[in-house]
Amino acid sequence: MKIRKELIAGYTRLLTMGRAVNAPDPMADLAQFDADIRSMHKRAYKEGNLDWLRLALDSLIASPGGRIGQFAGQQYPFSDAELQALFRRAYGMIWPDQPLSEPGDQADLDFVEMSAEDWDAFTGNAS
Amino acid sequence: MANTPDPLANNPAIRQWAERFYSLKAWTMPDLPDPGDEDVDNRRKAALTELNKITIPAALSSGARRSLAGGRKALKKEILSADEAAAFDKIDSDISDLASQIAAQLDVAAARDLAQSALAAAEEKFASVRDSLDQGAFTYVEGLIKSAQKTMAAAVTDKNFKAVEATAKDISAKAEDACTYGIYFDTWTHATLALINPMTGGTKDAAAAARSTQMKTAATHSKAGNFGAAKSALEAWKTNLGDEDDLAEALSFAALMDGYMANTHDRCAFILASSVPDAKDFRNHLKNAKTKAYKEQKFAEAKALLQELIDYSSKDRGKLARYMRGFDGSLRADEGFRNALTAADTKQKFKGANDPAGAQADLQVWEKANRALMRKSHSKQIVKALEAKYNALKQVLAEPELSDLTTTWNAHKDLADDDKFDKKTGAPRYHAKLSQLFQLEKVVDDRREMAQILAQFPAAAAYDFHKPVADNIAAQKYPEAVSAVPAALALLRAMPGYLTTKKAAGDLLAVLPGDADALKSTLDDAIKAAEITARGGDPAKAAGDLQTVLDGTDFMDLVLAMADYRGKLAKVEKEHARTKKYLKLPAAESKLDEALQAARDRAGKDKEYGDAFLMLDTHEKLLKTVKPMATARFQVQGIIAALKRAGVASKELKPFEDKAAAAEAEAKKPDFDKAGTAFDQVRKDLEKLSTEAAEAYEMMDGVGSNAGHSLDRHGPDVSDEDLITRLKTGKPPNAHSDDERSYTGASSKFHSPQDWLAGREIAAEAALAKGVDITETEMTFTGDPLTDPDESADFTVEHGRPIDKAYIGRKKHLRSDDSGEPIADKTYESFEEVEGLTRAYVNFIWEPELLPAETTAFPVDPTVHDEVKAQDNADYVTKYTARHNAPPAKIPGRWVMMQQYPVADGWDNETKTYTNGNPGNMIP
Repeated sequence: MKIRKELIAGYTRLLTMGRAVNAPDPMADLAQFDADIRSMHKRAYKEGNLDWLRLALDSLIASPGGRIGQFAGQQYPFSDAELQALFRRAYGMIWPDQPLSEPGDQADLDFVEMSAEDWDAFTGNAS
Repeated sequence: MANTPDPLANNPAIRQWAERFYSLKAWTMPDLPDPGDEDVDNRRKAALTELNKITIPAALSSGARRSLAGGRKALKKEILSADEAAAFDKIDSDISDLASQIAAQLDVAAARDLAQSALAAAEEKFASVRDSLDQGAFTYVEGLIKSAQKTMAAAVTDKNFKAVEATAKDISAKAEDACTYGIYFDTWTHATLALINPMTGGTKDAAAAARSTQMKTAATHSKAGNFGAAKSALEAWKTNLGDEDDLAEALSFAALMDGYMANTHDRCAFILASSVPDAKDFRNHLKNAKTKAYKEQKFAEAKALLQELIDYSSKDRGKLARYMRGFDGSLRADEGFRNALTAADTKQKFKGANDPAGAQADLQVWEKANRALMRKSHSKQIVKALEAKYNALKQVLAEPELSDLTTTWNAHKDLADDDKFDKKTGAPRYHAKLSQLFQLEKVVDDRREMAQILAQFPAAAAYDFHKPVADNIAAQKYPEAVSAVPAALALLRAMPGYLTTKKAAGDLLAVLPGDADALKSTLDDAIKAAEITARGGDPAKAAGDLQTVLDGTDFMDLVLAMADYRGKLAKVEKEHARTKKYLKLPAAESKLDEALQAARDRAGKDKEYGDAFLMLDTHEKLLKTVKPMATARFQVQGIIAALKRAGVASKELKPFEDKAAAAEAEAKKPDFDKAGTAFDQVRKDLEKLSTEAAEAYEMMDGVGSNAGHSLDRHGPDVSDEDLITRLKTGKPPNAHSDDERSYTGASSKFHSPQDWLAGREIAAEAALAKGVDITETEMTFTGDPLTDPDESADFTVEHGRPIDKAYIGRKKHLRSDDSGEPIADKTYESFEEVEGLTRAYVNFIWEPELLPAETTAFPVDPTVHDEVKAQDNADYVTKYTARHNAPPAKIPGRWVMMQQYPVADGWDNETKTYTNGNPGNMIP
């Protein structure tokens, strides 16, 4: 099912363009991203999108091939494997009690360009 | 392609017909003269017959059709006005010319369509292969595309378009050749790295240097499109090997490895992690193959191992692995199941019968014969494997099916959790219902599209095409609802076209002159007939039928005028709204609104669509003056506010504020031309102060922080060469040593310090509007990290004017990792140059103060603590609490601008627009 890519990119951008990517070697220790992960968690919580963020991260971690790269941002040249590791850490921090889906069990999400208005209408959040 | 103008509308051969229409004032048509001179009457009758054979095909552009239709009317007027037989010699000749011109233009239109398609295909081909090209091939194909786009933009004749088509097809073929070479290039870089890695000392250095030389030589050839020579240059490197045949061996292994990673690795990983019994025999194959290749240089053995792994990881075995996941562990208590499993294992064993499909079939037979045993397994699998899909589905379903889904899911889960698996009273009683409910997942997107159409075209609801789906959903007949979706969607998709055509026909009916009874009647009948067809279930045909009537030459001029007006209105309204976002100046906005409304009224009230179109054209030209003024003003306001925030002395700022106020007065009048010039000048004059302020901000942000690198990495003083070096090596423009690295996926820079400073301030003000004051130096800790104040605020500032250029990394370099395996590096082999970017990403982040070096009584008394930097408030509180056995009441700190750089993501360098939508944090 289609999901508004920018909804999720708005959160993952806090990881891929946040504090940690300015460190000399961001991927040397993923703990450098912890503050950015907390920021992402807080923002998704405040905006009422934690469920979508969880489903999206779970889906991208279980099936990264050919699509996780679109969330890399332009600040740091993350490889797909690095993004997967980063998202896995974020998932583990935010939802420690909820296991990740095994490959094939994830929600079938298709990340597409979609206006915020269309998305809100689709999810019933339109004012 | 999007920039390609419509050459037909401006073709002089066509324009002459429009000019003739206007010179003859052919909008008024005389009546058919009463019979008189027989010769004249006969010639008139013959001329009208010939003229009536001429239709203006829809294949031509709107502008061309209007011109040609004008010519047709002009000729008709001449026919009706002629009073001498001799006059018809020229009229007949002109009718023939018009028919020939239309035929010729049809040829041009057809050639143009073919050229457009071929060019679009070439662009698509390049986009699909560009990330696999080396820099030479990238530059070569990109150059061909740009050249073809220019030729297309200038094309007028069918010969021109045919040439573009041929060129575009040639480019597609060249892009394919370039891609083939790119794949070889990848394999070669992979193989040569593997061959060099175990070498030592001078031999290794010489081989590496020779590799670099051959790559440069190859790039020279690929840049010229000579991929054969490029490949030969790479192959020539083998002279550096003791045995030149080693290169072929290494290449063969590298190609196999690339193929494995692209096509088999994911499936293989799944099988190896599954309960397929002999999977354990293959778990080390990949590792061993890599060791053989990269450590021991035994490529043949490595290849054999890898090939065996590929053969093992067949699609059938993948299906078997997935199928076997459906068996719950509790089944193992059953002897029959264990026997079935053993038999299946024997049948699927790779080094045996190797028949995983047969093994799966056998297990399915057993499953059918043991349904009672399998019910528990199915329930457990549903709970485990469908949970994520269930959670996604319940996010998007609406009532009444949402309640049905959640109720059924929870009832099933409760019973399964209670180990109740009786067919009639346990969890399995819900299997069929859940299966039906989950089918709704397949039509989520289609149903959303249906809802969107109904929301955008409410009138479509009255045709009830969506009803079969809605009725079946309401009746909980989910399979029937799912089956009904494709047909309902197809009908609804035709509705916007039909309703738009219907509206156009209705509008036309309203503007036809009162005495045009025949025309009115024809149109009215057509509208009614189309409505019957649409309601009868064929809105596409209804739209087509009605359009055919509208395309009749009697209506054409008016219909096209209305269509042109509507098209123009949509475009102008968009730009109008965009301009107002920057303007935010009520006096000027009212003037703009009035001008737009006047054009709307001319069409809506007076029904003068031609005039209304011209008024919109004038308004569009006005917006082209207003928008640059508004964006310059937007930036000037930001710059001056930033300078004030930076503490620039008021006497120093005063002259600029005065000039800005004078410009503002012109804008309020509104005199947009004068205001634009004045704001541009203020903006220019602010360069020196902006540079000083920007540097001061950066210096302050950088103290004790990773922030403060925006200006020296993305500032206007950074050279293009530095930007490319950063992409290709990771060395940043502000490197303090040759070893310093800061890798990036896109290296960009601002045109001016004013752009940079304005972006910072505009984002700071946007942050304040969201409740984040970046001047704050203390935060309160509430104990709940999810509701504590925000510690980051990021924005995408749309400057509305070009602020930047960038180099976007495309294909990554390869390097050897510690084990000698070639892996993708953080640097790039190829890049794309783009310019004209208009957006900047700005990110403010809260940084708590350092926790000082101190001695406290905790965790034990006394404990000496070093000075330490906390990542964020949560981290600060944890560290502080460890020292003081209580959280801090307040957290001291400051906001820094961690990033500001121009956004290259989603930029289309040809159209100079972003292809991605609003990122959700856009200003304004």
